[in-house]
Amino acid sequence: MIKLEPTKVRRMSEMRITFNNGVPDMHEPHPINLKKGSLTAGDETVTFYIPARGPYSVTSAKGNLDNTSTGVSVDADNDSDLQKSERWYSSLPVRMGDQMFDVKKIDPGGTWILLAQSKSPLAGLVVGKPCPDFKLVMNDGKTITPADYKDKVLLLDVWSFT
Amino acid sequence: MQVLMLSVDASYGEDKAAVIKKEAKILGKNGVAWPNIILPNGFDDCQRQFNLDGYGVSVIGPDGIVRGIDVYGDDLAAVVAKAVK
Repeated sequence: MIKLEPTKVRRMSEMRITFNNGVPDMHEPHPINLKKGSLTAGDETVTFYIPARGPYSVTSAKGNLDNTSTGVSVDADNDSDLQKSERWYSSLPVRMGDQMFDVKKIDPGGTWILLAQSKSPLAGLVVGKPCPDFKLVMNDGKTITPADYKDKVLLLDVWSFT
Repeated sequence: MQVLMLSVDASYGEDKAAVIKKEAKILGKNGVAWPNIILPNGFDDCQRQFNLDGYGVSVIGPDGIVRGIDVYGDDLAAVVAKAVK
């Protein structure tokens, strides 16, 4: 269990679109207040942040395209400038340093968070760190891994036509 | 340099076979020859494997080090230029 403390560090909320009787309502990003905690992962001391106020959830609502669990910002480069890429969803294993943690529970009052070492393999991209192992299956059934792109610059482009 | 396209169309409930067909058509029409992978669980797979939850490009250097996440435009060009040196 890790105690959380108020902090002056803030991050931007996500832009969200909700629907009210079929009418889309856009929620623009805005700064939100945070609480911070820290832990030692391997030989690194990692500082992380969650919203100062709840409600908190370690699960994502079913049927939603967006992950609705509480975002945990992990300050991977220790610059207190929290980027979108440093935000992890608490419904999934969170990378801190080079270890993965499961978020078990967040105090409804935001005073503590319960983390447990995860059995999940190392995952998630962190600038400045090696890309973790991945296995992707091509449409022809071939499996590719980072080793297939050794000595090459690799661009991962997330897209859809929808 | 290699580009790997990660399709999240499965997030929107489309059947995989239909997605493969539609995407092949769209990519072919636009002259995109890069490998395209359809993630079976769409954004969920993206989040679990890479902690990516939106559209965009991430760059991994030839040494396997992550150089940029969700980079666009001039920022993308700068990150790639630095990575290929």
